[in-house]
Amino acid sequence: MAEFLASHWQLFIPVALIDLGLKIAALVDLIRREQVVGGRKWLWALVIFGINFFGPVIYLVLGRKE
Amino acid sequence: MKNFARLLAKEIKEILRTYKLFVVPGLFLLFGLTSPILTKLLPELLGSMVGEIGISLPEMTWVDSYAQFFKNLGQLGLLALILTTMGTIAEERNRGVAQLVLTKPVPRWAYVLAKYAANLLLLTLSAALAFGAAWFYTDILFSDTIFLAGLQATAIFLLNTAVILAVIILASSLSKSTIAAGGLTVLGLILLKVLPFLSDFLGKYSPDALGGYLVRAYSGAPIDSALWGVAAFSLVTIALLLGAAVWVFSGKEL
Repeated sequence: MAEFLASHWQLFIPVALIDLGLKIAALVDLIRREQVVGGRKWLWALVIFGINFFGPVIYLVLGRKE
Repeated sequence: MKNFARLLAKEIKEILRTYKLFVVPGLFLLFGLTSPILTKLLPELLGSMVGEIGISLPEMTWVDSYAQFFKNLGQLGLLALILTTMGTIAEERNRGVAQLVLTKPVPRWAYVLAKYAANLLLLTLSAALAFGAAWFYTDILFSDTIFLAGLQATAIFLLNTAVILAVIILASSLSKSTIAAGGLTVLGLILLKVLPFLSDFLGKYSPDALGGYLVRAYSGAPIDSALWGVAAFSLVTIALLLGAAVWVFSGKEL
């Protein structure tokens, strides 16, 4: 496993970039939004950065409020 | 036709402006990149879990990598698609957007079909992107990967998901709320699963049979010509579902 990760670490760059992209998109939306579901923005920030990949998706699908 | 084009442009603009552009292609791409890696690492992961008992695990191949990829797309990818699309008509009507759009002289059928077309476009681009990534990583990590097998499987996956998208659009035009649309979508998917058991003809040609062909395609197994029948039946199903969606939505008070 360790050998594989050492020799193939480049393969994870795109994965990390997508995760970062999703997080930034979700964070920008969170900052701009006046109201969120549940009312507390910092909780959603926790979700976005605490859960890789699915955190931003969960926020974007469930957390936004018009 | 002009109206349709205008509404389609509006839908595409909306997808570009909202989170949807990130969620569906982002998740699909993620599955494309991680499925081959996970498949490659699986024997080692399992090996370290069972310890030194000496169970020998078979070496994973490109078929396993494709299998993992299409399984992820068909489960979590599909879930993401349903969650982000189920409100597309129901919510616009709730918020009064649909009423605003339809005060202009645009026919209702164009509104419904533009929704379907825009989402189908997003789905197609997402699946193509994801398969590109999946194939590339599979080819790096495994030997003798067959590109065409995966490409055929992607085409079959797209057709299957196009049917499901039509179910979502119908559910959304029937429902008053996003949640209800989600529930109806699940009900519709269950009906599609039940359909093959109703008669021999349906068992052979209903869209549900696409799942079996998907597996055969990515395994590189020969595919019999009955697939064309299933494909034709799927297109008819899509037409019927969208026809029903247009009919329901046209009769609705906004």
